[in-house]
Amino acid sequence: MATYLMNLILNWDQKIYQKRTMQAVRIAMKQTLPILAIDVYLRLIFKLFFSPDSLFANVFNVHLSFFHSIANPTQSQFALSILDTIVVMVYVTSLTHSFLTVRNVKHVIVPILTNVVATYFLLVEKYQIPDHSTMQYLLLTGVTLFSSQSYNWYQKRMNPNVQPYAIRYLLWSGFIIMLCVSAHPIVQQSNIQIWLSEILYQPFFTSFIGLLLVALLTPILFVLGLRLPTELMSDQTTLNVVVLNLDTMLSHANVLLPFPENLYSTYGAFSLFGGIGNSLVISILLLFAHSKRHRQLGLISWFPSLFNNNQLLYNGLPMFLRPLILVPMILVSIMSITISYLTIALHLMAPPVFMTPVGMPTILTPTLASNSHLSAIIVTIIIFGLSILIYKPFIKQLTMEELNEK
Amino acid sequence: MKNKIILGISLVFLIILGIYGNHWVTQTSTNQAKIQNSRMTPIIFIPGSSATINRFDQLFSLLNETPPAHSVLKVQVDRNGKLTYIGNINANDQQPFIVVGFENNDDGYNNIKKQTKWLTTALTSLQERYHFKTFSAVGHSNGGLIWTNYLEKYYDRQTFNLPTLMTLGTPFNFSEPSLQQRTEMLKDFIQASDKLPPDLTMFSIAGTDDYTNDGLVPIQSVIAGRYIYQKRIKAYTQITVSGDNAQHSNLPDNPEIVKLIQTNIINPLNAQNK
Repeated sequence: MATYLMNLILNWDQKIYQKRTMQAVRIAMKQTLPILAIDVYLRLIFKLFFSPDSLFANVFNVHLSFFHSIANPTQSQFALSILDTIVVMVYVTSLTHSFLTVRNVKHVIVPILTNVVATYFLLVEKYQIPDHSTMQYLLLTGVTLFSSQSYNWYQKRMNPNVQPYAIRYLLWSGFIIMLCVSAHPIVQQSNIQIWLSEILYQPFFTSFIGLLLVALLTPILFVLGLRLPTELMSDQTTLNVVVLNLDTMLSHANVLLPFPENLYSTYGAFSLFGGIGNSLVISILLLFAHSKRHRQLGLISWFPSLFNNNQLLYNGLPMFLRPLILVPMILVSIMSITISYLTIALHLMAPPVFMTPVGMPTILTPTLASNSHLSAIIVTIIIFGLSILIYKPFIKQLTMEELNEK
Repeated sequence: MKNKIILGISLVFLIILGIYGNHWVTQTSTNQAKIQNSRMTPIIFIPGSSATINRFDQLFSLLNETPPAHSVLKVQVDRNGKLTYIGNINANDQQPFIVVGFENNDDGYNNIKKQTKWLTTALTSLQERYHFKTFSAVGHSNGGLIWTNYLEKYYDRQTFNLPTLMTLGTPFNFSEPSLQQRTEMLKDFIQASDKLPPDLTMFSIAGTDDYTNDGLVPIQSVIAGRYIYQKRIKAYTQITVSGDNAQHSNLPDNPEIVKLIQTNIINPLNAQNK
């Protein structure tokens, strides 16, 4: 049964990624990896040492005048935003190039420039340039592919002797850019991120069914490449029920909490080790993979994953629209939430309730935020171990698949 | 082998981070518990431009004529943000008066922005020392502008709870007598008014010496505050006092204003503490 299911998922995965369009996406994601690695590591260094609430300063109580003399936080933040934009633009460029060259389109400069400008105007927010942390792969990929396909179609209908910068191509370019400028308000207003964020404040998400729903839907939305609210990515401490729990704990230390099982105490503390779906486990498994490329990916993604950033894994594997990643991710999320919910409900562990320093590895959250350190460590180890067991066959298939391709 | 070394180093690193992180969590939650359980609800005063931290001394004497007596603490912020504390808060005083004054007490919008930053520094330090969350605020003249700028740009409802603000002769449109001519500051305040706390009760007191101004600030400039606060907060009340003691510099000592502070700020906070 397990083999049948695995084969089914594998076939599904191969069908999606064997399509020429998805091959172009895979190439673009991999080509974006070097610039993304620079971006991710610089962000990590900023978060650990230079930001006003840096982890290093908070935890070790070190004054940052030395670090601030090297890099002004505001200027550094701005520089990182520009780097984020470059990452987005490299992805768009690479995707357009891969998509069109496979289709024997020779002159790709006009469509590349068009897509770069169009996606910039589509994603740019008021006073904010689009940054990679808020990037929406589904939208970005969809727009780039639509534009590239329209160029391909248009170009095939033109006289091959027409020069690449002819007025007709410039008109096409202007049309695509105008289309994106017109779609900009719709994209900005129909923000699934804000809608989801508002929904998560409902008390329904303190029930087991509500939490299971989050465990099921979050990996799906993540693998689909949708922009998610911070409550699902990293920080649940602003949710009403979490604040109420903390207030109760601070006012009456030994009283029962009003909402012991909530998004922070189960989902946030036990299913975000290294990012959505405990993806820190993927980095570990990649470290011991057969292929050199995957071992390297495991190595470069390890430290960012430790500090809850799985962007390198997202592009490097890639995770985007990948059934081989989606299925174990859902299983891990459900398993993590079920175990943490039960241990809290059965009073085997005190629920995580305290705030931890910004940027702290999530794997430490249960231990630090709970009053019962030992049981929190044991539950963390059990969930981490089970996550390895769940991911292992899928990651093995994924790495084997690429070896076979070679 | 290399991977095992990386994992080993990471494990050691996590243990060290965990030990220090645990210390941070314990310290922070202890501090938060003190703030949460604190019954101290100070009233924080900010003087206007050119005035010193002694600006409210006469007002405090008048207020302390009615028991219980309130201790007075003055905080002077220098140009580098360094704080000097003068006076102290009695151990059993739940409603002390705190004055925050600035070494650089010059007039002007740019200076108000600087003073707001210094105010934030002072409030953080005061909370660390006295562990309070709830306080009420009074601002005389430009002091009201500093509070407004603070509420729009720096106030965090998770950290502080400010139920009542009273401004005395605050020129929300500087010396501009016409509401049609809006200064850059007023425009900024109106634009950011959605950031004001919705549970705030605000009293804007104007003085009239000759029905057009209080000798310094045009009454229309004080009234301009309604464009910032009205319909953005829980309650906005505009009160005008007139007569001999209604000149701009006399406003804090005006008997009507002393009564207003007693009734609208001190008594509600007292009731809350009981």
